[in-house]
Amino acid sequence: MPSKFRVLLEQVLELEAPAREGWIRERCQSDAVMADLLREGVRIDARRDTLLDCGLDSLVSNLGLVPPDESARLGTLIGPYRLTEVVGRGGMGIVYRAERTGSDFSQVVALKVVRDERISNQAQMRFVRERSVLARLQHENIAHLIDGGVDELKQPWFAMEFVEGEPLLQWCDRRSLDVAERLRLILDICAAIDYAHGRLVVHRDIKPSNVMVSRAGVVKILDFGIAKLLEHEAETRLATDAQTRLLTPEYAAPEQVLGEPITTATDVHALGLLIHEALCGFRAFGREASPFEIQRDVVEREPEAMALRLKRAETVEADSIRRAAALRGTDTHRLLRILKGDIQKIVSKALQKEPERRYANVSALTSDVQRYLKGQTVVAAGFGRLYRARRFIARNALQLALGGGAALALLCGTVAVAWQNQRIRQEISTAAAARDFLVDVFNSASPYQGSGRPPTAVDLVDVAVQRAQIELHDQPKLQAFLLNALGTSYATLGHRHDAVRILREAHAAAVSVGGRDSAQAQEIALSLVQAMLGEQPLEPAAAELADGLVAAQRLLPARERKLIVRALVVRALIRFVQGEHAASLATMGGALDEADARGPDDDAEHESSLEALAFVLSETRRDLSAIGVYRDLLDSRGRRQGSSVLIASVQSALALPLMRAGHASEAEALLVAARDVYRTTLGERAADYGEIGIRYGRVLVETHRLAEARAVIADSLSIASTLRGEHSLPFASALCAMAQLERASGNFKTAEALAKQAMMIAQDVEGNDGAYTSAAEHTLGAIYFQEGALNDAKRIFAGEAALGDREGSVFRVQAMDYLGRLQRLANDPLGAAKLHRRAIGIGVAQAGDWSLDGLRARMGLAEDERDVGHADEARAIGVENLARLRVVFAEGHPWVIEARLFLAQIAPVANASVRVEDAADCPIPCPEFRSDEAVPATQRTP
Amino acid sequence: MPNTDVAERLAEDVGSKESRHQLFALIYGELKNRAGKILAAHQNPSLGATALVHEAYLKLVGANIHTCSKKHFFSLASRAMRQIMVDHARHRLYQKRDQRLLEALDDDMPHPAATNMPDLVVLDRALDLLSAQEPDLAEVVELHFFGGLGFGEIGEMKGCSLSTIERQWRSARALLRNTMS
Repeated sequence: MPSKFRVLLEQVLELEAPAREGWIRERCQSDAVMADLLREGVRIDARRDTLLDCGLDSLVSNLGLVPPDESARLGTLIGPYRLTEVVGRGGMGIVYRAERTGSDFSQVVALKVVRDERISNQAQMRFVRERSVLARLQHENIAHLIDGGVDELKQPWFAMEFVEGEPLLQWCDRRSLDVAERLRLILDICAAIDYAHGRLVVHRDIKPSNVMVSRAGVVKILDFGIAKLLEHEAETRLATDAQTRLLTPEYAAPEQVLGEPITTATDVHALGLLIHEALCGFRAFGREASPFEIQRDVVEREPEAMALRLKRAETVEADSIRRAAALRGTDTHRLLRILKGDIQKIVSKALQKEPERRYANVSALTSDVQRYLKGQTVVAAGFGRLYRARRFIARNALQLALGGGAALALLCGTVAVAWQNQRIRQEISTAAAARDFLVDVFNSASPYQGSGRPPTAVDLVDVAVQRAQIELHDQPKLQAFLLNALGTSYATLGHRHDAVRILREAHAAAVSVGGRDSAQAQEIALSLVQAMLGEQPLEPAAAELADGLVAAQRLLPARERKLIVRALVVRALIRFVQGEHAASLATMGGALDEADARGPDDDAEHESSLEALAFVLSETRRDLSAIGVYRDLLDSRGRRQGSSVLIASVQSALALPLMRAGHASEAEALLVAARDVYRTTLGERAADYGEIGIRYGRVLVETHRLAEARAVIADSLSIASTLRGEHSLPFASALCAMAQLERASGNFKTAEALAKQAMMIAQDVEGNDGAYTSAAEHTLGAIYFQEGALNDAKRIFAGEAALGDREGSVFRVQAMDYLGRLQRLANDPLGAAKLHRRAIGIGVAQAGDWSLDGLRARMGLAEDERDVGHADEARAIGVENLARLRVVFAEGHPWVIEARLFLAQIAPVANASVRVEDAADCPIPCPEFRSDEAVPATQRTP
Repeated sequence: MPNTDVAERLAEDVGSKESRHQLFALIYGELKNRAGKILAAHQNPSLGATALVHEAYLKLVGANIHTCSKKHFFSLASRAMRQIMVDHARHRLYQKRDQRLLEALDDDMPHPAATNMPDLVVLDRALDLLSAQEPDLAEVVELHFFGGLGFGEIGEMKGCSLSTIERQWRSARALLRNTMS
């Protein structure tokens, strides 16, 4: 029975460090002694210098064992070689300079005696056999193995080409070789290793001390294949485990530590470590840790990125980065930029824990490094994205109290469609029966119509569904198959209600054939849940179906979980719709893990998970994170030359957080491009084209281009009314955009009527708490404010702000800004300033320094400060605001004008014009949205 | 060459006290002999200690034995290793103390051993205490620290996951440290 202390200790150690203290306080409220014991336990756990950490080996050496005396053997013979000098010692053994003299020649060799390793007779024979294989390796960059044997103590020895020169890293540092020059040397190493791999020899122990550069500047790899020779004949894990102790743990690959098969990928890993160390000057693993911890790190921990490693070094010892940069013939800034670029991605790919996820072979690594040196895009570039996405999740899951409802229709236009299109294509092409059936449907469709116009896609699907329902009644498997394809087609065409209906039928048919857990039933269940996600309100059955699907997938062996990623993503989205944001992000993390485990080749899975993740981040106003993930996604799709509609859907989604983050012109450009693609591929009357129009129209309103906005929004309004009718969410959404336009144009009464109508429709369709209803209500509040109906406005904004504190509202910052303004109008500028400061803080946390909501609140704050009587403060804020606004918006934008007027009023009359002009030169940095990992292509070349 | 005697004894009913004692004596003898050689041969010990138990295993048993016997072997060997180390430490400690009496004024530069040896003796006692309360934790420490077994190997032998063993190791570290200080 474990003691209570042990149980609690184990629990507390499982927690992340920052959470521990709170946990201890909560659990040990009445037991101060236990709390102190636990704190002590936590403290000890963090220490790495207890007796148990220093390891038995160092204890033994401290027990009075004297260091070995290698020089004792000098002058004696090993084989035909006379030992003349000790030139090195390492974990594996002692290296002597030795000479062999005959009557007419003298040969100098490096002779290595492997220490403390006795081998059996059987192993000796193998040793001799394999030694001859190694002796045949002839490559300019491999130190040639000349001879080898076993000495009188049964210790193996090797004689190798004697390389006079310096170890690789020392060579590089002494000559201050730059990154490119270092990489070129490593390319020589790669070439040699590739050559050996072609002869079925794996080095297994590549590390800096095993790479020399001769006086002539030629790289020479030592000890090729020797590790293999020393392996015990016993093939058990234990024996291998003992074997790895001959290797330096810092340079071992996970499979070496785990005793798993050694392959050429083991050398790829070692090369990754070599690049890491040569470029940043620090080992990827094993700094202040014990050998056991190093081994664990090798198996489990992602090595720190090179730039981060350097930055951490700087915190330990000042000037580290500058010195590293000097040794690489460059400056601090440039070195960090290089290390953050694509070379890091190459290193990360080489250092993957699973051998199969690394570069397939050394030549793949070589060509990526070569591409990098030429400034071309590297294959590994798409690699870090899941890692990054996971970091976004980690960062956001903690503080996800923000956020609110969402425009889900958008999602169904992207994630679901991407999968569905793919699936439909695959399935239809593989099922001949289904194809014949559909061909028949299409051939007979025209006469069926009889209306004189050519049948639309929806007409065709309608007919096909009817015939499938009737004619395939006795073939449930084929019927289910077809209805699945047709149901997803409905969803693609925007008829989501029909999609759910037909997919439900398909699911029932599939269940009747093979049961609930058959592959077909599972696939259809997934389509069904996806379609349900497009409907509001969400059916409770959707969550159950998704849970069942995830559970069924988990029962399958890992390789066969083909649907797990999508099932988890859909589950996460359902959680999001239900308002469980943290749980949603956690499930999303699970999906990314699964996508990761399925390997780097399944890009569609990765991208879909990323897209869903970005969507949730964006909808919960983690704008900066969302921008990062969307950009990754865009890079990935662009690189794969994915379909233009899929790229456009990401561009259009990215525009929203970009706009909120104050990057208006980029947001607009993205929307224009995306809308063009939608028009040419889907046509001018497609639902998605209308949807993107609403979005574009809103951005145009924000940038005050009202005439253009009117045309675009009116167009979307008409598309929504024809396709979905006037009792639909798209129509409500377009009405709401129109209301915003009218408000911006100063037609407050029209705006109010439109907003009320939009709100009524939305309420009717989705219920009181729906996202569209809140959006319409928010618009109404803004209109009330401008009309001077301050009490009505206050009611709405107070509601939003209160919601924001509890479960989050997307309009939280704006609501606080308005409440601040109301407070100021009520002659409480101090209270107003407090509200505005909070609004600015939250806005910046969500969308960065250039957050539009934040900017608006800053304008409010300037007015508050003026009213409080802090004229200087108000002026300073006003000047900065104007400078920022002029970066984001054009000169004629109402906010810019407002900011100018503000300054003109507040500045002492004599200096007014001067002050306003000052604003133009105010040194505010331009918006910088790229996260620090993403280095623009132009800066990539080393 | 594997020692058939040991292999057979391991395969036998492990319940017999007499057989267990003999087995322990055999393993202890081999380990002590090996440790002694390390001393005598003036070799660098850095490879020696952790590999010692594994090497004894290969020598005495060979690789192809049943997991249950393997576990049996390693717990005995780790115990033996612990005894050897602690005895040695104790011995050195007494030596040192005698020496200290002679050089009472000269303790500016303590031998590094002086800092660790008493610790090892204290660790031995703390481990006894721990094994009375949390025998499973004490076993992990013995196997890992004295036997030189990796967490993975220990998990395999005990039929637990790697993370369980690691958790136990961390708890044991903290508990031992608590008792030792």
